[in-house]
Amino acid sequence: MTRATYSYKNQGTERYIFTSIGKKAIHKFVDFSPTQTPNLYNVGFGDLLQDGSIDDTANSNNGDMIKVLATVAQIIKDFTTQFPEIKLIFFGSTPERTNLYGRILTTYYMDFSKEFVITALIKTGPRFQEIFFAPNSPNIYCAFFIKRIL
Amino acid sequence: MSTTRKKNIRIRRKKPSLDASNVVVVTHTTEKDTLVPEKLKKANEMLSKSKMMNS
Repeated sequence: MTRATYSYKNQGTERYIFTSIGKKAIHKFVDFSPTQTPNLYNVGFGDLLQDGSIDDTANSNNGDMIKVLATVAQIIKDFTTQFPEIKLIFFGSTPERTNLYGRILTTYYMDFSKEFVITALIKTGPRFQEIFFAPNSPNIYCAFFIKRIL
Repeated sequence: MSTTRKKNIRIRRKKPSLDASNVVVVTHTTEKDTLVPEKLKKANEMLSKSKMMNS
């Protein structure tokens, strides 16, 4: 992904902040949190609101979605360069948003797959199963994983 | 001359029972420092029900 990105700064090693400048200025965060599975971190992404609270469900409609997503992708590359042994899980706050992430992975699959192993979770009855992500697959993905190819 | 006899004292300890009041559940809380606790909780729930690939 060689698109324009916003500049960002770290808050500690596991949180990044940048400002989306479109119709208005919106502060965004990307948060990496350890799950209960060793070396597996959850990626959180959303808006930092003026009262200090956060919103990871907002549809900002700020007119700069491509630049925002390119910035998030760059932050993920930055984080995984520092911690290449860490695998990341991410999914949307709604099924529609998870689908959007799947479409983004499909669009940039040729680029991402050079650097990352990309897998996904599908639902199999009451449980989930991790499988390799396949662009344009009819599978309904519940979450995605990426891990740097070492 | 005095003699001291050692007394064998047996202390019977009650064997702990496994009723709920004796069970300590240890949980790993990783949600306190994240900005997205609900999402992390959901991730942990999914992962606990997931069959993962060997990596």
